[in-house]
Amino acid sequence: MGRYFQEDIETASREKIEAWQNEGLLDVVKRVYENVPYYRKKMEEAGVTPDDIKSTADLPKLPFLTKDDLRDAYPYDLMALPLKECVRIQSTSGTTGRRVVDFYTHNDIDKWENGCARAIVAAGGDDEDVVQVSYGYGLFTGGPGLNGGSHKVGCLTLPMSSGNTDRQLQFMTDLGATILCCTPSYASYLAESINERNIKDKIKLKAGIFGAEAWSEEMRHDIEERLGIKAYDIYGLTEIEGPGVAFECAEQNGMHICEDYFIPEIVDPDTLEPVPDGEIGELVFTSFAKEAFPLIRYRTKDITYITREKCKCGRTHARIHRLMGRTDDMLIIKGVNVYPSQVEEVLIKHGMPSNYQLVVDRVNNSDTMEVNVEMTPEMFSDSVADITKKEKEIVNALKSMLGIYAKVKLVEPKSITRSEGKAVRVIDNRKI
Amino acid sequence: MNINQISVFLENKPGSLSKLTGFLADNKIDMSAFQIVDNSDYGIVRIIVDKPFDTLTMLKDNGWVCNMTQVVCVKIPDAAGEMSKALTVLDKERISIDYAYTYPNRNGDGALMVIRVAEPEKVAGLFSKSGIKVIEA
Repeated sequence: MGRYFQEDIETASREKIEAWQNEGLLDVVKRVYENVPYYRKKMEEAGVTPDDIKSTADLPKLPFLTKDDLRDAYPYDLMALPLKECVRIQSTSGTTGRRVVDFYTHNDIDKWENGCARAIVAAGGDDEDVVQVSYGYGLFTGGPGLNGGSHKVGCLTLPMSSGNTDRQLQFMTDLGATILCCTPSYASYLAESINERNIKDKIKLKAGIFGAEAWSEEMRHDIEERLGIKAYDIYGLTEIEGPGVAFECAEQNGMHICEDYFIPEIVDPDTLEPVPDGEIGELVFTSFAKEAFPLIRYRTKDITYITREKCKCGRTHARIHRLMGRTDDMLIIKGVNVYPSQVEEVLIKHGMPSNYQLVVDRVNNSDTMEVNVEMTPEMFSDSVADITKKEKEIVNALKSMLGIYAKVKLVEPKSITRSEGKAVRVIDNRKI
Repeated sequence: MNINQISVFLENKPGSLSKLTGFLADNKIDMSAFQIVDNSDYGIVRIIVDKPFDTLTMLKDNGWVCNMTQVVCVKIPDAAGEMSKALTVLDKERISIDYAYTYPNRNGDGALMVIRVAEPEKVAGLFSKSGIKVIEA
């Protein structure tokens, strides 16, 4: 297998990609207008019919869809096909509200797995590789998605699911896993455990495909160094299909969107107007190739920017920059926008662990932010003055990054809960 | 020469000190000196023990953040002016002390004073030359 899983598609000309998208958009708009009363009503309210949509240039005429729509329509009201055509559901964890479900036909699963297979090949995988899938299996899309992609590439697949670190490490060493797929925070935890058990020389990993949460470039370098691998970012969301919507290539310079299945847009989250390429805004997707559960202009709440320039790897599909946060995990502290990823960047730059927690509170009508971070042997000293000096350096770096004061609280090692799925980074105790 | 002191990081929360002393007890480690310094969030426990190298390894293996530092330990006889006499030696050489603490001498003969300085070897030499007894590990 070469550098691509589907070379003709992944390196197609921009004209060809635009033609697929124009055709796909017309088709999906017609399908939902005719088959999904929920969509038809939204389109009627917006005063738009399928005849108004001639190409992707007409996208702004179509109404947005949000997670609230998906909750309102739970479970069946956004389906574009009868239930008997569907073969699978996947679901979100429901941690931020009511569950959201996604439905798949055989073709939908096939395309989803293609996206994951492209990601594995882009990370240097082929049929000689042993892929350890340590994302959760079940309703969560991470495990099933990468599992299917790994089969398509012909890799030996270890369907580990998340958790049980001892078993993870035993399979990793006994079966010589070469590619690890999990959340970046779990990869970091596994690296820590490998170091503790002193078994790094038994690890054969060469690459990792990490996603399902935002992570910083500093965290990437940290994981790469500790595991001795190249770490690739992957993007996806259950509502759209799962991981494999976009993925990184060896250039590690943005994630290629599978543009033969999805039309990406970036909009200003306040005005909802599209912004030019290269400008930061909220990522919006139209999943025109989906049969069972197509979404039109779905607002992901993820903050990033897009480039359509051809990548050095030869792929022509547009790239999104690594996620800069989510509109809903952005904290507003003393009127300043704060993303947890900014804090992470500062901590790792100062040699602190990437496992941290932000505790936000309101004291006497004023917001406070405390960063809990675990003491490291490197930072420790027998003198309080030495520790205080280093603590001040971090506080100052945070202040120059965020524009506000944040107290740094040093806590005992391993006292911040490790996550086997998505990490809980923020505890907001403000009662507003 | 000189003494190896072990310092351990502890978070300020109920039970953390007794967790440490319990660990030392379980491993039959005998402490001769103990001091705790703290700020609002954490404390540093400084101890002098019978088996410093083994203790350090055991603590590290069990996830404690700790380190070992060479400190100078001198004997201070039980009489007025003895501590001042010792410190005058350092004062003459303009040597700055990071921190110091005392603990009773096991055989009941005066006190022992632990002094943390940047150059412990040099300071121990100065004490010896001035007739102040330096305790060795």
